Amino acid sequence: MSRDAYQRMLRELPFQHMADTPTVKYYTDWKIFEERLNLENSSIEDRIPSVLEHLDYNVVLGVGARVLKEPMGVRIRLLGEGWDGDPRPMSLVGVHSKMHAYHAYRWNTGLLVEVDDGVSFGDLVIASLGGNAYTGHHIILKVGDRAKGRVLVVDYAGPSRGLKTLVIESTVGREADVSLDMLALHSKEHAVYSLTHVVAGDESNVKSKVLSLGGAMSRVQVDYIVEGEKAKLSTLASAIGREGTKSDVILNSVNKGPESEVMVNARGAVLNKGYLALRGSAIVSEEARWASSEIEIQVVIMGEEARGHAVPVLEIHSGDVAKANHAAGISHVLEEQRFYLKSRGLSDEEVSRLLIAGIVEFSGLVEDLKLDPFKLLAVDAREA
Amino acid sequence: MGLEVIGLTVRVRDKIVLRRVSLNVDYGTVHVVMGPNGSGKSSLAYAIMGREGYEVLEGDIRVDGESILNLETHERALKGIYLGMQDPPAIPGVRLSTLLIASTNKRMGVSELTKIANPKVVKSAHRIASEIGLSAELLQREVNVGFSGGERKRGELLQAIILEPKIAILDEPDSGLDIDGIRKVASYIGSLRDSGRAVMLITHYARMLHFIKPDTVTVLIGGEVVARGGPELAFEVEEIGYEGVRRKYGSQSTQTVNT
Repeated sequence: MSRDAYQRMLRELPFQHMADTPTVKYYTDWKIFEERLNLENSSIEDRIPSVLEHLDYNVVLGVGARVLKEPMGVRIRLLGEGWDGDPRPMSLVGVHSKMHAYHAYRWNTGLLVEVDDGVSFGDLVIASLGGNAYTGHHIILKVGDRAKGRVLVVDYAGPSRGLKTLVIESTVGREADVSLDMLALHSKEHAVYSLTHVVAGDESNVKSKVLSLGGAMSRVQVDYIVEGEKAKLSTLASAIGREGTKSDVILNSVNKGPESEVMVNARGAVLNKGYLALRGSAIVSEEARWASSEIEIQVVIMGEEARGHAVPVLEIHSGDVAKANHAAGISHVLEEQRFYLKSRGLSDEEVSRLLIAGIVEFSGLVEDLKLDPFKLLAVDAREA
Repeated sequence: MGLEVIGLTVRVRDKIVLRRVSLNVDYGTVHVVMGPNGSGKSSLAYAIMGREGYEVLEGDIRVDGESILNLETHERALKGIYLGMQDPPAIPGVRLSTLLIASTNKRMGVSELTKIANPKVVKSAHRIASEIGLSAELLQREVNVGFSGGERKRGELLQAIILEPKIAILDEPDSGLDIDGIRKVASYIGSLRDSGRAVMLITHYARMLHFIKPDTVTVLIGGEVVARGGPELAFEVEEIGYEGVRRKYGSQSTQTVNT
């Protein structure tokens, strides 16, 4: 599709595919994106914050793209501004909304990552950094059959006022066993639109850990298409609506493969004047016979003037389902819970810190990456 | 010395839940508090722990002779009091192992809540969990989320052992357990006493007392102490019921049953 076509779509499309119902539009504050759609391309990229400096990055995407090292069995190519080869960006996602079109029209760096069949590639760490205006990154990830390893995307948007879009289109081959992890850390000055699309092949095993600490407006969406027969997906997610930030975190799954299995478990916390929508739709398609899908979302309101939503949707289109459950809860910290923790020797402030840290740690990413949850929560103040 | 409750009267909202309750729990002893539902047993535990809403109208609570009435709940815990709750709440987001680390760090004076200050804690937690019949996998789960009744009880006991309190208040640690579970829990309560701790054991029934001989038994009915004695009082309760105990002892001021 030509840039002209994307430009036309940018004018004509609504902000998201199903934008006509007010309830759908409600969760993401699109006005914040709208205000920033005309930003110039960034000229200065954000620095990786000190709390994340210790990670062993393979690729850094910022104003430009830098490939630092390729793990064995992994080939990384820069797509370049005028990439016209195969695969074409957005071919997996499609362009259904203004933000998609904006991304397709404006992304300034892109990456094709191909993992060979049968390799154990260890860790592949990609940093996607925001900048002082607009930054767009596109990653196409193709994991070969029977490959094993972990891909971690660190989506960081720093203290300068900016807009970032990040789209990751990934396919996971037959019998591959991979972790696809995402750490989204955004400052109060940045609006970020992040969309990850994962297609899992036959008998593949995909584990995914997501940690989101949003900014001015962060829309972090991951769509898992569990296409293969007997493919397995398990997702653990933590999302924090920090003080004065807005986040809409969406974890969607579609079972398409017969006997495929999906488990999505997410925890969120909203602090003072924060906003967090933690959502997910779990769809079991007609062809996914004897598939299972479970989704659980819990959000705890922990501050004054904090707003939170926990929205799970389960749609079953198959007549034969092995298991299908959905649960959601939104709650304040109960006096009983606070008393219990205080009776273990923790002050009121420590109880709050422990509860927040617990939710930050829930996805397991903090532990895997040896991060301090409190330093992560404080990144805005320290790095600004 | 140990825990002293002196003439304690407590109100919750508009209701008096404890009236002039006095009892001592000395170090190296097990003091059993028995009573029917709604008799004020758990209220007594909450009042000792300083729970919000439990207003002390008169009397005092002392640890080693010092009043703790002006201390907040967490300060009372750091004084060495532990409360194993009857129905501990689920804490979504906080793993049991994280809570153990945070609680032990606080007792060691370490300000970091989630970093392991003493690696022995984790090792001990795994060992004791296994000994009391708690799966080690549970340590990695969120506190009491999806735990069975028995798992919750064992989780409370595990914390009582790991946190090494001076005074352990255990509110119905036997409910929801089968006979083997009760025997095991009783044996750990015995070891808490043997290691010099003061144990206040709250229970409905005397069944646990077949496995652990209490030093003192207090019967609480309607928020008042109606009888106090040795282990035989518990079995008398079993024989004649609380109504029988109330009829026998309740018309007079607190009765001490001679052994």
